[in-house]
Amino acid sequence: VDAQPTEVAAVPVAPITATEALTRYITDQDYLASNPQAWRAFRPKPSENELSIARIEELSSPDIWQLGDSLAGKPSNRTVYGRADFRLPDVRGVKVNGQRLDAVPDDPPERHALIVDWPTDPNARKTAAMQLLAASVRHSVPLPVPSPSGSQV
Amino acid sequence: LYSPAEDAAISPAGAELRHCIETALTPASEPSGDQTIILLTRVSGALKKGFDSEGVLVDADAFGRVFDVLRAVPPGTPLPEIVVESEQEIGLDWGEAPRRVLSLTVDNTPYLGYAALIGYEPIHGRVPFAGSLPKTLAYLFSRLYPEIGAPS
Repeated sequence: VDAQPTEVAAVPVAPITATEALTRYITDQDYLASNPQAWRAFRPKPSENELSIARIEELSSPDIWQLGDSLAGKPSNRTVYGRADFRLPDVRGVKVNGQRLDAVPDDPPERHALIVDWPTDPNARKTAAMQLLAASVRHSVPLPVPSPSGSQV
Repeated sequence: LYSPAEDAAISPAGAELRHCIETALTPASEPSGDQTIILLTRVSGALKKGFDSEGVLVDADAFGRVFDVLRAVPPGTPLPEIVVESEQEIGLDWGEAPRRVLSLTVDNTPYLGYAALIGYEPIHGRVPFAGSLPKTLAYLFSRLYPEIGAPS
């Protein structure tokens, strides 16, 4: 009997829910704190029509940062300095030129997702990025906790 | 030709005309020495960052137009953050808070791109630029920095 090739059933990826925590990892220190350029963390490259984000629901804080390193840090040889958290309604609340942004799952890699439906006009894109940044909450990577002896862990 | 020495007009219309000519002949505001150093540092930083992260070398004409734009913004406006957006485009970013931001895009065309978020109001578009600040941008600067006010 000829062996039949085994088909691996694809596990359906759950759609993003309205209450699910999402984040955009920040790999540029200039985009943290109150810098007027911070919204650029949410600006896709001019040649791209999507922006990478991550689904961080039910992850512990260390796991969120570890995910950032594996999704946004190591693959592009960058350092994750922070992140900006938001939810799906914050994305869909951005409407530019009559067009609303949306967020969709994009596994693999696991927990990867995309913000899509960006306007093509570069200035319209900027206002969309500004609105996303304004709706999000930014966090910096926690500093290492010094040990009692003074050395850092 | 206009000669102040030969200007003997005393009527209100003449005084107004004299004021208009003096305003037109007044050199545009130039940054102070300290501001120039800060500006050059930011330009240099933007060039390095654009090349290091994106491999972009920006068109020199676009940088020349950046200085034209900065001469036209209302006096007292803080210096912007500078970003190389592409080989032809430079971004100038002003802002006080996430909901008070303005970004201008300078390229080698006679237009300026603008994008702003003032409160919950997003605004964007392109305006012709020929050396003086277009009304739309003057309005946006006055919203962003009300303490400075719109230029006359």
